[in-house]
Amino acid sequence: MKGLLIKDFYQMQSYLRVFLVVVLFCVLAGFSNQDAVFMTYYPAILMGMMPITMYSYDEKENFLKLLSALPMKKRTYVTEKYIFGFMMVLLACAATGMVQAIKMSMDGSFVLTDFALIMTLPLAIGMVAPSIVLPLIFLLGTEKGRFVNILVMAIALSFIKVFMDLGSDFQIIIDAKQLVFLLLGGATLLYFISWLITSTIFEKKEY
Amino acid sequence: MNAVEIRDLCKSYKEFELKNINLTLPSGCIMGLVGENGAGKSTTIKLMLNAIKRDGGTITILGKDNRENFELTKEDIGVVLDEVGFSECLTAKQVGKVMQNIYKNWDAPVFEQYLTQLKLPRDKKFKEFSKGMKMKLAIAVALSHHAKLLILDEATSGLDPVIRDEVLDVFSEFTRDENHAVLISSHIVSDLEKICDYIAFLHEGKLMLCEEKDALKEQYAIIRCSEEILGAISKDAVIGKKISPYGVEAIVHRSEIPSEVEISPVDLEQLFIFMVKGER
Repeated sequence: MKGLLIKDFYQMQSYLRVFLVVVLFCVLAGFSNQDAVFMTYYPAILMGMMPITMYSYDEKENFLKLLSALPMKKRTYVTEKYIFGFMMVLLACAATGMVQAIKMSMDGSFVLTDFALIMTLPLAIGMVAPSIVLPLIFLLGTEKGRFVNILVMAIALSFIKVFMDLGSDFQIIIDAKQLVFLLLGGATLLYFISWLITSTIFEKKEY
Repeated sequence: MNAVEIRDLCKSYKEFELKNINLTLPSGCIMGLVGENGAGKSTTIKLMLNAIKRDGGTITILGKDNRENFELTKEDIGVVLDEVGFSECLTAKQVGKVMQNIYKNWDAPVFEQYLTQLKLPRDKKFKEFSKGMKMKLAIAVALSHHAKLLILDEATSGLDPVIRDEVLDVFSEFTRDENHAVLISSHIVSDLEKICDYIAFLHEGKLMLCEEKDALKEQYAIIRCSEEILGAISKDAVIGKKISPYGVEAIVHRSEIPSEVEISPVDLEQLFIFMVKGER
């Protein structure tokens, strides 16, 4: 598992430098622009999709064939992709969270529950998008799965917009703390179910 | 102990079938798996690695069924595939670090030693490697975790003769330890003839023969004669023949040829070509 994670980090460093610059730009844009809430969520979505990109490279570079020779279960490979994805989302949330915390402190609006709510949404959405796409990519392969990937990205971004518009109404029905637990609990459960489905799909795949 | 035991192995696809493969590779030996493209060599290797599911039969690797806790057995197997499978952006040094965290018995000094021996650059990206260098790196990885069995799928195909020779020397060296074994698939028969103790010959999904190389050379011979002389020889003695305006060339069972007929030693390539293409 650790070896696979190291491989993915090396690949990310090498192939995705421009991508990481875009993420960094979005994080910083959230600081400079008053209306850039969208930019707070976008990095988590992008980083959450990272395991899909990594899987594409593994498929293209025949690593999946080599995998059958390595001393690990197929499930380990799937687990690594989910852990890698979660680490990426956490990384993006940590970066945007830091920026948002500084921004809120500077304008005197920092309230812990508000801050937690603001940061919960990217964390949850960052996990939801790969939860849907990863099983399909493992099932269909990168080429066929690409369309699904784009579709899910579009739905995820639309969801953010809708949620942002309805945000205040939600808070009337349930308080912020409940919302944080609901979002995080739901996303985690979905992520876990997705991992189970992907593991089953990959167990049956032959390379 | 036998490194590999395959019994009645079957696998069916829509347009291809691997039928009742039986082969045994004793420890301390090198077996060559020969056959034309599409004969079933890679399918057999995939089945051995449990990368695809078999329809029937058994596969025992290093004394254990390859469907039971095979990830543990794979610690003792070094594999080189024709499409090596390392990430294009990794350097040899980085590949070493990745593998160090995958194999429990990874031996970094041994890996370093192989990089030096095979003249592989440490900081060059894999995508900048030549085909030969890529294959040599895969071999270095396969040999750096104290494997007992090497499985090589077309590992020497596409390499120039000098590198092929280097690589074959490495495999011969590996089997000096009697607990080690190598299964190497190739359609370059001359490579296998150099280093193999056993030869398994696959043709259209069937195992035509699986025998010691020296026994094959003792059993079979080639004769060049007229059609009349060949006609006088028992048909059962002839494995395959080719008729040309200059006479007949035939692969025969040595023991069944009358002493007055001149025979020459056969090389494996001739034997397989006649078995597949020669008339009987």
